Order: sequence, then structure tokens, then C-alpha cells
Amino acid sequence: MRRRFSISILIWLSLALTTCVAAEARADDEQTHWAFRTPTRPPIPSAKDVSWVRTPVDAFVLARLEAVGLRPKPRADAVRRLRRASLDLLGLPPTRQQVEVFLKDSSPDAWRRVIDRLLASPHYGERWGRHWLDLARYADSNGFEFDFERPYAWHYRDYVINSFNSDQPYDRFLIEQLAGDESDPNRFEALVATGFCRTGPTVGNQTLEKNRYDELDDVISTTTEVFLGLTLGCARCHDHKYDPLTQRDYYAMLAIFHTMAKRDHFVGSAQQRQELSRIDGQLRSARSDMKKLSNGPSRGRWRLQNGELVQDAIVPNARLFFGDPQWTDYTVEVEFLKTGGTQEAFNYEAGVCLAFRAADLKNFYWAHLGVSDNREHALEIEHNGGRAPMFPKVAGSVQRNQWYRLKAELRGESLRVWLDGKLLFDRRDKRHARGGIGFGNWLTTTRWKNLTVRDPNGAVLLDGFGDPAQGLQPDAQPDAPTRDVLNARIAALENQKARMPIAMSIFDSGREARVTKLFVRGDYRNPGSVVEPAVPVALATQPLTFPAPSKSATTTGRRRILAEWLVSPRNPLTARVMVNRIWQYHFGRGLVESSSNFGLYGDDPSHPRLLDWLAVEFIESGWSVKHMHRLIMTSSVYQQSSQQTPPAQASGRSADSEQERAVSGAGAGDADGRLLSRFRLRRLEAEVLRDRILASSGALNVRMHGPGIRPRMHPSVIATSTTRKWPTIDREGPRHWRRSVYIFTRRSILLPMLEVFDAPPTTESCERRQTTTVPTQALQLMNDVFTQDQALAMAAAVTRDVGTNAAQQVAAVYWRALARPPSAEEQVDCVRYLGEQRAYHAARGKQSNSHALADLCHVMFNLNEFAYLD
Amino acid sequence: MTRQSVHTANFWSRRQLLQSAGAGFGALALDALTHRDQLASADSNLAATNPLAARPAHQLGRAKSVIFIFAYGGPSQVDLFDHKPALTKWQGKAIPVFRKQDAFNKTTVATAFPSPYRFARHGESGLEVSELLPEIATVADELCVIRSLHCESNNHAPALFQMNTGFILPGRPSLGSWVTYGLGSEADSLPAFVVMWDHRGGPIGGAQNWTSGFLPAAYQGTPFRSRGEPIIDLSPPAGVDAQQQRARLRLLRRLNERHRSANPADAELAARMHSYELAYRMQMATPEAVDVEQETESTQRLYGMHQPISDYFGRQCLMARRLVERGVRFVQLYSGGADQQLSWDAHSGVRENLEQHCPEIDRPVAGLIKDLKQRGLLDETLIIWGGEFGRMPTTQGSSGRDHNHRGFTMLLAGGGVKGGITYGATDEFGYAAEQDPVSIPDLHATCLHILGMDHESLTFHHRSRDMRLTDVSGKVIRPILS
Repeated sequence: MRRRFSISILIWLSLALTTCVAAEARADDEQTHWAFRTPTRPPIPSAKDVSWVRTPVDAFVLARLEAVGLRPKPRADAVRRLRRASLDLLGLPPTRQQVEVFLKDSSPDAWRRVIDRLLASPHYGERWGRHWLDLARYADSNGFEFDFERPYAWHYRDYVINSFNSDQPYDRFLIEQLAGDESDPNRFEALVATGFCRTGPTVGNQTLEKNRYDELDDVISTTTEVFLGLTLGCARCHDHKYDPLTQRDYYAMLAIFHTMAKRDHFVGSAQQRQELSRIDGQLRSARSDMKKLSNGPSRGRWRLQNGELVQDAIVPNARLFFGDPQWTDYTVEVEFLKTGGTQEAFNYEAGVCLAFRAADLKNFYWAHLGVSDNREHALEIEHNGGRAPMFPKVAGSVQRNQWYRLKAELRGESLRVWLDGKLLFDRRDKRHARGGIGFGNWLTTTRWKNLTVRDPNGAVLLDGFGDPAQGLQPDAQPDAPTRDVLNARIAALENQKARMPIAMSIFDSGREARVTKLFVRGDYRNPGSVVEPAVPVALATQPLTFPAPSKSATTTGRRRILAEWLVSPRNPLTARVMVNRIWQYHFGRGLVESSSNFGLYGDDPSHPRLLDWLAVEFIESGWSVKHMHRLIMTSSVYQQSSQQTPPAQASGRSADSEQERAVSGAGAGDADGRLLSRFRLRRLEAEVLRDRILASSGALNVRMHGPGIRPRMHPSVIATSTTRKWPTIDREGPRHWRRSVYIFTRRSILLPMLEVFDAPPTTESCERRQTTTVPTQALQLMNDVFTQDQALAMAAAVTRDVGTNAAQQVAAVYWRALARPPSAEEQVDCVRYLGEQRAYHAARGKQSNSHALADLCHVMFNLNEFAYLD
Repeated sequence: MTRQSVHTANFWSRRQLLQSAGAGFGALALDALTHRDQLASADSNLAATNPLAARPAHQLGRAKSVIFIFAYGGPSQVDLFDHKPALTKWQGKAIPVFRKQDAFNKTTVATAFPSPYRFARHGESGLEVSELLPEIATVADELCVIRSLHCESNNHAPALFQMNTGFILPGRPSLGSWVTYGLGSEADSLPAFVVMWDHRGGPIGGAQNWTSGFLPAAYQGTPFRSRGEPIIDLSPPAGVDAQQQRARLRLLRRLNERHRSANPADAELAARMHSYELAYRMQMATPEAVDVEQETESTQRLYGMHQPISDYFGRQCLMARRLVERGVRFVQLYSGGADQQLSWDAHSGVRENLEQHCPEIDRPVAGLIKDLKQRGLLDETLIIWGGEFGRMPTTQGSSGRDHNHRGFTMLLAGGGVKGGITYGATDEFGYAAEQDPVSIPDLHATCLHILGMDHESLTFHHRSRDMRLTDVSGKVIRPILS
């Protein structure tokens, strides 16, 4: 609060100092907060340096700069401008060819045509749709306790991408998201759009009524923040502390959404419906087969191979027993190697078993290794067919393709088991006094070798395995489908179903609205007086009416009335809030810095008249977002250089230094860039960074749309979540190398590469990404397999393009990574580096060209220039 | 004193970096990074720019760091620290305080279920501890047993979220995040807030339990693995050796420096270059910090590492001591993972559950307290032990106990908290907190106080409100402070 206060004081000072700008200041006697008054188009101010003014945007910005004696930066060079526009609009760097075409084009409208070309690219929607998904707190899972998947959520993501690509008018975009079911009930996309009201986290507490109000609170908070820039959610329990929003306003908004319910709605052709019922039928039968799968003892598939005992069927509870039922005290030693295991999470039984004191197939002890999802070892007893672990179990797991030595020593009641020489179990039990040995697998496959059984005096009782056919085995037949086969079948069917036209949408449970009461202190158990639907009183010049729906209506119609009020040209906030967001995504910061809070305690706009001018222009353009891009990007403001003069040189440079000090408070002119005297350099968002790496390496798969993708995650990241629903991937391939907007967003485990670079947390609307700089980001780019793999891929691509000449390689690497040629100094440094690295790798017997080149590519991915938009 | 930030927190304060840029920054050769003296001098220039740099507390605090041992699943207070002889008298009979709506599970009944375990008094204080925890009993005089905790949900996930963040809905910053936000860290080459989970898996809700929520990501808990490399991506990937990495970083620095010379005033670029130096240092400092093999055999035994049952958790407790010794601010250890009997969630059998989990932690926790004490670190380290709730003194099924959010026990030790005492009490059955009830915000306010922070002043401006860990409540439990 203190800092914000000081900023407004400074702005106020600067305004007071100059007559030109003073006109922009609010009159003291004005009662209404500026943002609650309908914007009108202000006149375009006249600036002195007319040569700099390309668009009205420039006039507003320059007038302001001139008023405080500052000058903007010159235009950035062509390569930088193209790179900036391309990363900004598409989230991808330009290709060398695109740069060269632009450099050669000397026509006056070259820049405008570049922007048109970029806006026509389908990658534009992927980039700008992502901004909207931040606001919509989009994710592909429920969050909360079990974080169940939302298989149809991706349709909403694609709807957003398509809406941006087709420049769907913002008013329609808004109406569809709040009331697509009312405005256009038969159109799939309009129903999908209402997913906006469902993309928040699911609340899974025990009290259903409370959950419902918590979820509606999320809808109300998100709707008012995103479209109105108001934090109405703060008024759930009491009147808003700072803004003229009452608790009654909150419940009046609740009355609008109160009758809303969720449904996953199929909207497709008769043929698709047939297809859907086929899939559902097959799913039912696969699931019922799964249920029928017995966990009873099974035969497995055992054989002897080169002296090893091999079992290679993934079935539950395979058993093969050997030895003399009369043996009492003995020591078993054997080695085993796990060759495979189930991928199914939550399989607490899966593991590798060594049985001893086995009188028959129903009475024995066994050391069951890697139980509890391969996290524990247990000693278990089976007694007349009933099985129970002997607590406590101990921590441990069994890795694949690694030999383990297992030893069990039985002396009377004493049972001891060692794994790789380490004592695991030391127990006393007398229930089984005698019996042979045995091997078992529970959804794993193994090889066993070097078996010996000795009596306490060291005499050999058994040396090596017998013929499996002679061992004791359960009668069950091994030919039923295995769990893994059924799991794969179910997954494939679910995947087919996820592609069906099923909208994760909302509807009203009827035309009769639910009665809404004000909850005292926000507690649903404490209802007060009845509240009628309304929009916040402070915003409405005249109250909005919610007429009773017609007899034939199927909904209350309330959400549609709200949406239409939001997009009415008289609404003071909707257009301002959206143009400010567009501005923010172009410049890294909005004209109003608190872009989801236009209330009294939000930030004051740095350029209030520009904001109003843009808002009116936006409405009059037919709410065209692309029109706003053109307007902003063709300005001189947008094309300025990002280079910043060091403060030592800046002070005293200007004749108007007194005014400068007044603005910055420190004599550094526009030090924080709020007056837009330069283009502000900023770190790329997580997704853009990942996409840029893929684009540079050439691995980027530009396929659009469809269910979310799941790139490689380190197994210990997957393990942080109890649900563990993420596939284990050893090596990524093209299907993972799609744009980051298509990555499946699981609320409980975000992809580390994205999370570490400040991807939004998805629990609430994110109006602006944070930009932190922490060492774990460096570790990620320095050491993760992804970066290394992409460096190798890029090295291969560069070699394919230009061969092994070091100078040509360096140039090619610079073009791919930075969309520019290297400077002479960079060329020298990098060629020398390649030489050194080639010698280094050659001395170690490695393929020197590709490894040295990969080293260079890897450095590129880590450069500041690579990670920043400038 | 209030700490706040504007909408996007950009931690590397620009002004400070402007001042330090050029003053020796970047002049440091990575190859020299192994020499600690040079490190120290390079750091002094940048100490003030780090989001995690140590900051003074509001007032003088006793503790500098926290080790929070989370007994996930809900440990049974009436079998461990809250002895209720009345249950024996009521055995087989319905206790009058039971309310059906408090139970989580339908098979829970009102019938008293006396503890099958014996309690005895220990130490000079005569604190009562169950026979399940013979080692912890030997440090009874160090323990402050709070018997009157209560929370708002009888369901794991919301109760976990509340214990960790103060709120039953996920998304708020965790206690560890608030503490590191308030105090920064004294470990410049290690994460400030470290989380280690059980070998059976993470707690339900996963990373939502150590999230920084609306606080910047720098304050989020960093998961450490207790075997192998503690942090993912801590060393170069397969096929890249150390020398090759150094060569890459040398070129990186050279090219970055040249780039920065065109943007000399931009502090973010300098900060990002510095983050690579820190990362490089973390690569060496982190494995060393958690290398418990450097400890003597007697220390390892003190933590129970010589026994299979307590080896895993003992190792984690010893790692925790090494981390706080090196200035890490907040360490959270989870005992119990996944669900049901794999955690302290004894629905289906109290005996199997406690006889699994108690021996796993008994020696490690006692060892940690003894070890910190003998090193003179106990007074500046706050140890917290407890779960998201407790368990019912009545029966579920044949031999289990259901969740109980209305009365449960937590332990505090160290950090200037009085030892050998109990605070608050449940009713005669151990069912609901009755005397001096302690809410989660009260517990959180007390923890912050012990660290020298005022829970009403530690705020962050978000969604037009000054957010607090304790929201609108919280009262410091003063009687337990020495």
C-alpha cells in the first residue's frame, strides 16, 4: 500500500506541474470514481514532435512525455522489431527467410503487412488464447483432493484459440462464455464457451451445499474480475472494504448464477451418437472384465532358460513352489531381476515374492518386495488361503533390470530376510513350522538365478531350479486377458470418447430461479433476507431489470441479461478492462497496472485519456481485438528501442531535469518505464520459452487442437501427487513436441518446466504472470533432459543444413535461436568455442562435431537474449 | 512492520542491482567458484538483491528455523499423548459426547475404545507418553504437548490444507512460504523451504500443501528426495560432464555480458546472470548438505539409521538437521504417504497402524531433539509434530478409529517453547477440545511469534486485500513460551 501511495503522489505531482496534463486529472469535486463513468472519446492531443506520431496512440503518449521533458527512444532496428512482433503475436521467433524478406522490403507499408501476416497465422490464437486461459483459470483436471481429469475441457481451450484466430467480436465472445446456453442453445461451440463458468477448481468437501456456494463464489469472483475488473468476491461476507460494492451486490450477482448447473452435454450427429453409444458399451464391458479379473492364485508363464527361471506374464499372484514340505530350518539364497511391472498406479500388491516354509499352495510365509506401489517391502503370511502382512513393513523398492540378492534364514520361530546383504526382516512367528520354497510375481515379470537351499549345517538341500512343470502350481488357467491389456483397452476407449463432441457446459436447472438469500457473514447456514438479481448498484445509472422468463423458456435468462449489460456501450468497465489487458500483453504492463482491479484501490491509469480513447475505439470497431493489435503495433510507441540508458548518463541530460525528478523521484527520468519512453524488455512466459526452444531445434510439431498432451515428467515429480496419473515417458517424441498451450494442465502437478518459469497456479484467475528470477530456473535449463535433447536435435538439424564448417554452423545457430546473424565478435567467440569443444570430445572418443555443436546450441537456449523479449 | 509487494513481485530490486551491477559482478570465474572466500566477497555485493536474502524479523524471535514433522493421516492422540483412563471405564458403552455428524465414516459408533497401550510418566516433568514411543519418552522434558487442537474439516485434504495454509480450500500460501517470505533465508546456496515426503508417497493434494499460492514462486517449498540426487536437475544430464558444463557456462557468461553491455541499466539481465552462478553453486552445496554419510556412526544410530524400520525417516531427520544448520529456514517432513494404513489413517486397525508408524519415527524424532540440543541448536529451531487432525476415542469397524477434527494433539519442542508441559485439554474421553482450545490460526500465530513475526503484520497485498496467514483470527499461545 505504501508503494502504491507514493506512485500516485508522484503522478499527481507531475500532473500538477504541467498544464497540459492537468486537464487529465480528475476534478476534486467529482463524486464518481473515474472507472465507473462511461468512457467518452477524448480529443487527440497535439504533440510537438509530429514526425514521431504515426497513430493517435503516439499522440497521447508523446504529449505526456513532452510535458515532463522526456523524449521517446528511437525506433528499434528491423530485425528486433520483427522478432518482437513475432514473439508477441505468435509466441514463436521469425524464420531466417521471414527476416530477410522483411529487411528487403522498403515499401512504406512493410511493417503493416508484417502485422497482417502474423495476425493471419493460426499460431496467433495459440499465443493470445493462452492469455485468456490464464484469466479463465483453465485446467484439465478438478484439483482438490483427487484431482480427477476433465476429459472434455480441451474443447474450451480450442474454442478460445479459434475465437482469437477468427477475431470473434469480444462482445459475442463474452456473451457466449457467460450465457452461450441461453443465446445459442443448439450450437456446440456456444455450449463449450460456457466452460468459462466451469474451468475453476472443483470443491470436493463433504458438505455439498457449502461446496456449491464455494464454486459459485469462484464463478462470481472470476466473472467480475475478468470482465469488469472488480473484486466483488471480497463482498461475500461483508460490504467491500474499499470499493462501493455491498454484500447485497454480491448476493444480487449470486441470484443471477444461482440456478446454474453443470452438465457434460453431447451435441453431435446421429452417427456420432451411435459411435458414442458403441464406445460406452465397450467401456462398460472392459470395466466389467476388469472387475471379474481375479486376484486368486494364477499359473503365470514359467520356463528355464540358460539356467535361469523366467516368468514373463503380467498376471496377479503367479506362484511356483519347489522343495520338500518337511523341511524345517534352512537358508535360501537366490538372485532376481525384475524385467517388467504394471504401469497401473495404486497397485498395492504388485511386487516380487519369495516364499518359504510352504507346506502347500495355501500355507507359507513370503517376502513380498516392492508392495504399496513399489514403495515398501513386506513379510506376509498365508494361512489356509487367507493372507495378511506381518507389520511393520519397511521402506524400499525394486528397480527394473537390476540384480538383487535375496536371502532368508529360518531357525525355529526366527524368520530373517536380507536384501543385498541388508537385514530387512527379523521376526518371530510359529504358525508355519515346515515347508519348501517358492517364487511368485504379482503383476511383475522376473528372472531368477543362483538358487541354493542349505540346512543349518551348510549341507545343500537344493542347488538350482527344478523343471517348472514339476513344481507346485495353481490350477487357474493363464489365458484370461491381463490387467495391463484391459487397462490399455480402457485408456484407448476413453481417448476416443474424449474426442466426441461433448461440451463441458452449464445450463439453468429450469426457468424458475432458485430463491437467493443474503448469507450473514457469508455462511450459507445463516440465510438472511431475500435478494433479487441485479448488477452492482454503483455501476448502474438505472437499475437493470430481470423480467420473468416466458412460459416456453427453459432457463431463467438471467445470465444472458447480465452478459448483454456487460457489453452495452454504456457499460463503463468492460471495454476499458479489455483494451487495458490487450495493452498489458503487448507492453508487459497495463495502462492500469492492476488489470483485474479498476476499483478505488486499484492503480490509477498512467494515461487515462489514452485508455478511454482506446476503449471507445474498441467498441466502435465492433469489438475487434485484431483491430486493436494493428492500432497498437503500428504505433511508434510499440516500435521503440528497448535499450535503456544507464542512470548516470540520464541525469542532467535533459534541460527539464527538474520535471524529470518530479516524475521519477530520483532524477532518472522514466526509470520504471511507466511513461513509455522506451519499450520495456521482459522475460518470456514459460510456454513461449519452451516453444522457442522447440522452434529453434526444429522439433516443433505445429499440429493444432485436440486432447491435451503429456510430455515427459521426472518420475519423482509424478510421485509428489497421490493420484500419479501421468505416464512415465523415457524419451519424448514429436507427439510431445507440440506447443505448450496443448499441454494437459493437471492442477496438482504442473509441468516443472512451466511451473518454474511462473506458469499460473490455476486456482484463481491470473491477470498477469509473475516474473521471478531464481536459480531453479537456471538448473532446469542447464540440466534438464529436455534442453539437452533439443540441443542435440538442433545440432543434427544445423549439420544437415550447413555441414560441418564451424563458421557456417555458428551463423546457422544464431539464425535459428535468435533470428539474427552473429556479430563479428560473437562469430569469433563461438567458432573458437566450437574448436575447443570438438577437441575436447574427440579426445574422449565422442563424435566431435555433433557434441560440440550441441554444446553451442545448449548455450543459446540459456542466453538472456533468448529468454527475453526486447 | 509490513511486508508487501505490488502486483508482480520482481524480487531482484532494480535499484539495488543497478548499484551493484559492474561492481565485481560477473567478473568471477566459474572455475573459481569452489573457493569459498571468493564466493563470500562476490556475494556481499548481491546479498541485498536476492528475494530470499535474510531479513530482520519484526521483533526478536527465539527460533530461526522450523522443522515441521507432519504425521499425515491423523495420529491417534488417545494412544500416544492424551491418556484417557475414563475410556476403560466406558469400554463397550456409548460415550455421551459422541455426535454422528463428527464422524467421517459410517461404520463409526459411539462405543468407547480404550487405548490398548500403557502410558507412563517420564522425565522430571512426569509427562505422560505411551509405550509406543519409548525413545520420544526419553526427551519428555523437552516437549510441549498441546492437547486441545481443533480444526474445521474431518476430511484429509481440507484439513491438510488448513494445517498447512490456514484455509480448507487449496491455493493459499503455506506456512513455510509465509515464513520464508517474512524472513528470507540464511542459506544462499540452498532452497529456503524444503519438503521431504514419505517413501510411500506424497500427502493427498500433493504440491498444494507447500505452494506459495499468491506469494511469488520463490517462496514455494522445494521437494527433496531422500536418496539419490536431492533435487531434480541438480546435475548435468547423462552424457554431459562437469568440465563440459563449465565450458558451456563460460561461453554463456561471455555472450550474456556482451548482450548486457547494450542494456547496461537493465537489472533483470544482471539478476538472471547471477542466478546461474547461484545455480552452479547449488549443484555443489546441495548434495553436501544432505550427505548424511558424512556423519559419524554414532550420530546415524542416534537417528535410528541402523534399523530397517527407522532408517528412512532417520535419514530424513538427520538431513533436516544438516539443512537448518546451514541456514535453511523451513523444513517439512511427511511421515505417512498415500492413504489408509500407509499413512497414520488408522480406520481399519489401530494396532497395525501405530505399530508400523511409531517405530518408524520414534528414534529419529528423539534423536533429532537430542542432537539439536547437544549442538546448541534446539533453542533456535522450532520443532512441530502432528497431523491434520486426530482420531476418535470410539470404535470404527472392529479395531479402527475414525478421524477427529474436534480434539487432537500436537507437539512443539525447541525454539524457546517450555518443555515438559502440556497445554489445553480435551474432555474426559479425548473427544473434543475443552480447556484452552487452540485453533489452527492460533497455532500459526504462535509459530510466527516464535520466529519473531507478528501474524497481524505479516501481510501481502493481493486481490485488493492485505492477506494474512491467519486471515481474521489467530491468538498467540503465550503460556507455553519461556
